Amino acid sequence: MDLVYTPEQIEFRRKARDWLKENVPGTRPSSREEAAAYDKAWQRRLHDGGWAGLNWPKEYGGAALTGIQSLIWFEECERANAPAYGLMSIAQTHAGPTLIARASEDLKAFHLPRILRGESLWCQGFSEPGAGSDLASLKTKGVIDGDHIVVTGQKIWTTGASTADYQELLVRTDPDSERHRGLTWIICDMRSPGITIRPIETMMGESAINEVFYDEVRIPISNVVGDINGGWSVAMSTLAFERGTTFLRDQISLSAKVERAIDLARRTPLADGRFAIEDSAIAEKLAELKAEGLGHRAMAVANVSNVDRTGSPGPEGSMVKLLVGGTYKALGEVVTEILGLGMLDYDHSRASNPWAYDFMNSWVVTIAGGTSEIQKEIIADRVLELPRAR
Amino acid sequence: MVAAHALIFCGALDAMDLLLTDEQEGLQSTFAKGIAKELPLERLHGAQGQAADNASLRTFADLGWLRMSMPEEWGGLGLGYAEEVLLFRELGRNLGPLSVLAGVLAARLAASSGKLELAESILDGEEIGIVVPEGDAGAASGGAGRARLFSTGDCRKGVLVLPDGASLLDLTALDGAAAPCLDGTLKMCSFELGDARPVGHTEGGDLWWQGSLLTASMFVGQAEGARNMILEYAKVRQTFGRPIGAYQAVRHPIAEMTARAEHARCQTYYAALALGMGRADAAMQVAAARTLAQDAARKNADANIQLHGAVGITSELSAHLFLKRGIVLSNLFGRKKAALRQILNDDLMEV
Repeated sequence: MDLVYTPEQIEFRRKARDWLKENVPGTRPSSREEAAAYDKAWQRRLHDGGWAGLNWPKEYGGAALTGIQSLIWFEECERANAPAYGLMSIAQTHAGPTLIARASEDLKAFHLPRILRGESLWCQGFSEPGAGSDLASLKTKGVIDGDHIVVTGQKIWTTGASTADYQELLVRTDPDSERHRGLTWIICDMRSPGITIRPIETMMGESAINEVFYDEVRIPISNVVGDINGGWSVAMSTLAFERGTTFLRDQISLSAKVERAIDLARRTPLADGRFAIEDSAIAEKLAELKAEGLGHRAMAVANVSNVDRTGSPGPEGSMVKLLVGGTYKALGEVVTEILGLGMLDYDHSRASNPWAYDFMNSWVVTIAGGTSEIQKEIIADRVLELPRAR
Repeated sequence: MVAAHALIFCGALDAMDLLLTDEQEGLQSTFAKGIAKELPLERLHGAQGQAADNASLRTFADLGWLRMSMPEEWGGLGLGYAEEVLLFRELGRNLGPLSVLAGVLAARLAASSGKLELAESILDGEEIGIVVPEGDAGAASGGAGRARLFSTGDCRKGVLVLPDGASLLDLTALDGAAAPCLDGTLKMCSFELGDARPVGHTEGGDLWWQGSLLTASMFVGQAEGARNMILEYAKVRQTFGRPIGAYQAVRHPIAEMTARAEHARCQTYYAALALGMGRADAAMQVAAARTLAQDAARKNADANIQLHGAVGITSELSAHLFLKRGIVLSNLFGRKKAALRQILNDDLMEV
């Protein structure tokens, strides 16, 4: 255990800070198309600056950062108020790493540079109505027809489908198969004929999630990653990436959000004329959340230490996701108490009231990427080896 | 309406690695094995617990465990708080003697005030109690007011640690009548601070933060111990034809207990390193560790009793002991309120 940086790490931080200072763009627009263009442009700038594919290997154009370097990078991004991955998230944290691990050289050569340069946005076609957390029950069918797979069915909760160029699509290619057998992981070009996309409005107002319908969509078999009917293991390796360092930025951002809430409490008067910070219940709740934020940061250090020592994150990612979600939600509750009616000033865009947006969005944090309940199941199964519930 | 405003701070992390080194792994395993053998939880069933704990205090002292973080020139081993935290985590897990905590602090106090002989006698295993002032700690710093003494067995000295200084008190003159205590595994006396004779004193908050940190580690151990106890039970106890650990109503709380304990453990290790480095944010980091760990210990003690069902509330099981010891610890080094104030008012560190 050690909290002292090496000179190289200090130098790395300085370099990151200087670059971000020069390159961080202005506010992200809220309309879907403009946001997509913004995310692509930011990725292009990261690429040109040598900051693309943070944890991808060098041979595929990545920056091959260590875990600690990634942590430093995200800290500096937070300091500089740099954009998050946004709609580039699936491409950067799921699709790219999955292709590196499992795809043919042709697919790698085509897609990886495009992802790194910000030329292609990806979305994830896993969830279906009736198959959210229970992925093995998905029904969208893929029929092999010559050198194509013909896809018919429906996906849902697909973030960024309307702006995406490609999709990591999971379909059932063996109609007689059960559960996780008989699935295939395939790259779907989102401009293929037969795809219909319907945006779903969210409680925040701003929307990036969609339903996607497939009516005999023809996808070349050469787009299959892994084996036909062997998609489950590819999907699982994708999810392992998701549970790794995807939440690192969230972990780091949370402390900054708590500091902003403390600042808010110091300058917002309550109905009785006192500042909110003078209310002991509010002050103590904020202090508890600040302690939780410090704990999340400590867990982030432990997590990336693990990545650096063993090459992969452990199942602790589920604990982090569970805890961060809880803090997020509690922060929204105390801010609601501080702001009172001010919490209602919201025109359904993030910019109009980031506190209201964050509170509504806290349910995204505790549902998307595996609900808090599913995280508890994962901890119970994989960390504690409790008898199976299923 | 609220507009986004500038960050007051960010990126305040100063970190390289939070995993144990090989040497630390070795120490941890030594502590875990030694304490599990010397102080199994079953010892606390019935009356023999205190005798066992008295004997182990001397055993631990012989092993040098009390002198770990003391500088070498004072007869210590010159290790860090990080190593000491590992020891206290194991003590917490087995509800070990509070006199180990008292001894570590008292020996440092004695040595730093130039009483090396006294320090040696404490490091050799002389039993020291922990003194907790009633009411406001500020009023007690003048030596007035009532206080409680917590110890494993009979002791003649107690250590009183306040945020701005610490005293070693000779309590020989007190009649020493023990009062019944919620935590029956401890001895508790109530006395007038004015009746105690100070035999050593240091200024400053060092012992306060060290004590807070070690208390946080004991809370971490308790949180883990309570989790382990119910985890074991959930795998074997059957109801409606299935182990109770197969029901989500049981497995989900145990998963939460695990995440909570891990959260507190990571923060406590982090705080130990920050305190050892003398970082500007060390007090805040320790206060955060104490807050998270106290919550984890309390909530895990609660879940452990609840998920055991009726057997959880019996004295035959150790479940209640985690709760009771937790209430004792929550009174050490100020209460949670004071820690929260520290956290709220201190600035995150700029990197």
